[in-house]
Amino acid sequence: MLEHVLSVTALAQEELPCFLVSRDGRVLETSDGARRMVGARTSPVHTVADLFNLTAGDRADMLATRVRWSGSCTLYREEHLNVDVRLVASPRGEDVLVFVTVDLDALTRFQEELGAMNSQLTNMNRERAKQAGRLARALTQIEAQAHELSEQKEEISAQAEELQTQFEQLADANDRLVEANAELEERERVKSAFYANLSHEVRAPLNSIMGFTEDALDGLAGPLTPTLEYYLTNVTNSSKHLLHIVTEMLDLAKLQSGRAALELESVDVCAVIQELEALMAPLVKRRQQTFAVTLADGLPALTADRAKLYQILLNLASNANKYTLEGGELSLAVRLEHGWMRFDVRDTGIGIAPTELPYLFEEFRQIHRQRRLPGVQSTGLGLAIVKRLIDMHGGRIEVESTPDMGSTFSVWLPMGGRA
Amino acid sequence: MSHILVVEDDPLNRDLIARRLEAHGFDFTMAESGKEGVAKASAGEFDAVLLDLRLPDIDGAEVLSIVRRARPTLPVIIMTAHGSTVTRDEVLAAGANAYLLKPVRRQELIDVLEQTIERAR
Repeated sequence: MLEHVLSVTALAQEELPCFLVSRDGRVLETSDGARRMVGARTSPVHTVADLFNLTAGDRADMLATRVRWSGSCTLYREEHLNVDVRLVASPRGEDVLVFVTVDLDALTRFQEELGAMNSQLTNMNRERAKQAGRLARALTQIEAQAHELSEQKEEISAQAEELQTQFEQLADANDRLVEANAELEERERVKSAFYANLSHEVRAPLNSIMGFTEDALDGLAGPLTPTLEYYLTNVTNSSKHLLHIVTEMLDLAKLQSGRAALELESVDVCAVIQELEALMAPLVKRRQQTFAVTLADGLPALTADRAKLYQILLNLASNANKYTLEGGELSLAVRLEHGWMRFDVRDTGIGIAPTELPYLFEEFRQIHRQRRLPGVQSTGLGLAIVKRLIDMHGGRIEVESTPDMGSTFSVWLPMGGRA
Repeated sequence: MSHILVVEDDPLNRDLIARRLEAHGFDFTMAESGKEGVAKASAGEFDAVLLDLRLPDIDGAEVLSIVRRARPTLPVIIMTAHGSTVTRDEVLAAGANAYLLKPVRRQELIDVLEQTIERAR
């Protein structure tokens, strides 16, 4: 009988889990396989009762076996980890050899449980892996965002630096502008004071020149000869011209210094033009010209400075008169145009060279023009004054001219006065 | 015969005024500076003062205010080469009776003098 010849020592080297037990139930020897199966137990193993969960009857039957005994029980392993096993006991001399075989059904159940646990673990792992993946993605995303943010931060700080630089540049530019403006204002003030002084200094001697000449022409200095009268008349005319220049210079200086203010009122344009026609009539007649005035029907009142409007129109009309040969035609047309009142002063005069047009409204430019027409006196300031007066009203002036054909000066003034 | 005090520093203008006043039958006294004008205005009896604004010592405007205080009813006509409406408004507000801008025509001078003296009577 194989069981009988197997020694415990021989068995101990086998992988088979088996115990050598005395008839009174003490555990005498344990094979390697059995030790592995029992595992690391905390409580000591002294008897079969410490190893197997057998009923008292089964245990007695097993220990009393003379041939062979088999049964099922639970093997106490480590705490909380017991295994259902099958036992086969055989007598060996006075002792009993107990073989332990694992209960296959139990093993199957255990394996199924393990499988379930395993798949649960797998699921959990998969879930964890998913979570880990999500976390990793989230982390990547966060890292990307952090990178982007740091780039943005750099960009913003670069922009902030640039803005700061620009701000400093603007502040510098502003300082320079303020300085330049103060300088300009000072220059305007000096210029204005200069013109006022000049005007005074010229007017004082003109007073005696014109006064003595006038009195002499009136015979207060004794009888006049025709030659003396001719001489004195020339002195008077030249003095008047000089006085006119001085007056316009002072006017322009006042306009340029910004000290002249607009006195806006509701102006009856028709009345202003009637006044103008009356003043122009003798000048037009003297040069055998015609002066045609065309007013659009139902012209409303214009919000403007009446005296300055009159000055604008008189200046343009008297220019037309001066720069048009005898027998020429002058005209003034007034009409409404998209919220503006438009004045066209036209002549069939000598016109203006295209090269002169860009400088027409600058001070003293017209002095060159006057040479073209003998006997015409001009201060060269009239159009500069006109331009200033129109600017003050928020209007504009344009000129069209063809040499030897004539000129048209068009003025637009806002209907409601300057905003 | 009306007696005019002329305060004018320019000799040629003084001469012109003198000849014009004489031609139109006015009596006159000349002052060449502001101080002289103030002194003469306070001392003598005049029907009007013809006063220049720009004077070598004290300003014509100051002469005007002194004369106004000393002789409130004495007509003062400002005759100046300062050509601006501001100046005219200023001197009229300061108590001047009339304002003449140089160059002044003979008839204008005589008319203003006669009218001013007439109104003051």
